[in-house]
Amino acid sequence: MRAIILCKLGINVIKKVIEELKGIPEIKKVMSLTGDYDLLAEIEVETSEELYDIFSEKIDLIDGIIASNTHVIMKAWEK
Amino acid sequence: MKIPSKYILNLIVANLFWSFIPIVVTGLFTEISILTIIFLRFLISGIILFLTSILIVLINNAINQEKKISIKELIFNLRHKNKRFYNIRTYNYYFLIGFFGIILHIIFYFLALKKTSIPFVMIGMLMTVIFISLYERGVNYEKFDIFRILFIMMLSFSIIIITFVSLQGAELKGNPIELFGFVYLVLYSITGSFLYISIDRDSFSKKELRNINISKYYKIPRAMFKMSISFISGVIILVPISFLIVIFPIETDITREIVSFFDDLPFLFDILSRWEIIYLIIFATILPYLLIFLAKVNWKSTNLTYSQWSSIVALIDPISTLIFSVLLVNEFFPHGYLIIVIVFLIITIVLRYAHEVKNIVHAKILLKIKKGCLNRIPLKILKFYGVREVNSLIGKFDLLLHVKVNSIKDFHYLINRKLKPIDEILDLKVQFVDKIEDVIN
Repeated sequence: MRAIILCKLGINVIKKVIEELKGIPEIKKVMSLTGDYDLLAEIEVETSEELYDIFSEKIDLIDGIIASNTHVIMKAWEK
Repeated sequence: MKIPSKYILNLIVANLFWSFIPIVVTGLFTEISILTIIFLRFLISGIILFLTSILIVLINNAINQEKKISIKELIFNLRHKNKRFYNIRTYNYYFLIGFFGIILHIIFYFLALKKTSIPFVMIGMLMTVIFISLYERGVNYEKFDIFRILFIMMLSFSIIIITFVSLQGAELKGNPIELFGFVYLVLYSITGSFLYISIDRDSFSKKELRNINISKYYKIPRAMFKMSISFISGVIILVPISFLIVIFPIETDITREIVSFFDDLPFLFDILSRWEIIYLIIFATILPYLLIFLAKVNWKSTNLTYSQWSSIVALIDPISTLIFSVLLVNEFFPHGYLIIVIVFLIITIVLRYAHEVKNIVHAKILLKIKKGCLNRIPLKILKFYGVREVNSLIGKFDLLLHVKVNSIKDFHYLINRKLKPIDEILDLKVQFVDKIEDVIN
């Protein structure tokens, strides 16, 4: 199961947040953005419970993330 | 930064195979018509690619019962209108690539080779890169950034050096370069530019996109099918056109080649058994294209697209041709000048890379869509140029689009001309990707 987490960050914390996200083994991709959100992280987990655990125990505790928006990927179409 | 090195190697090897073409064919020109060489090379390669594509489909269907590829879809796609190429039917698009981009392009290449020398013809390849750059500037309004200006300067210096050395060599050999040789070279560059600009303007039908998402290997037989139809249609039309040209009372190099082509016809099987023709068919056509198709299908670069890498490494062809022509067939090119040209061309490759990296637009687009549209909207959007992947989401947004385009103009077109007119899209948020972090997990 894959999900994307869109994060809004505080000022001057992007490097720190990226490093902390990279330290979570289930996070497979991290990219910095320009727009409404500052950061996108892609996470791969087995179950929704695992997603909840990682989110509540690790991601939610990272200082600097002001708000986040998690979306579960149901299906992917590629070209 | 992740570089798909394995598949870049495919592109490099394909270019190396192509770089031997002038060395292999120049010996044939005194005995066989240029048109005969082209006719045999592309007809046989086209038939082999066609049969291989059918064979791949049959093998896939026998192994993967759940991921079957439909031969009917492959053929029916020929009627699909290519919205990225003047909305003409796909078979017409393949024919235009085949005749103008491949057959005419190679005819002018071989004529230029016959009239001048191998190093001099390499100017044509360099001019093609400049023409494409000018086209992108004029049509796509791409900026002339410092990298582009520098690589055009490097190419121009290389062209000047090669011209100077080739004229010197021609004088020494007592075999002057004819004006027509230069005319063919320009025509070769123009048809080459057409090929490079149009070859990637292919569009998938909705059914095909569905097939790709069932089996990603659908793209391999499809690409082979495309090339085989382009080759075969280009070669077939060559015959009636040759008849028409030969009727005109004006005698040109092409008329002479046509007459010689008709003379060669009874001996086609003998000619086909020559090692040079076999090299052209296997190592200069089938193998390079297979390597390219494999690279294209498996391309998972996080940085540049396949077509960008493909245009960057295309300069390996003239570099290696220059080296091999000096080493293997003793073309006149003093080593000092050769080193300077090679250094200039390597710098050009680096500058082109820098230019492409600087101009690429990488973005994620979040969409909210109307209720009841989830079945058809993703595939509709996936058809648009630049959209590489569409994810259906559960959350605040319904769809996530992964977008990578070569210029901000292309991005503007995607957003304003393609996405915004879709009534079913309720909300659209663009997020530009600044940097992709290296994650080892």
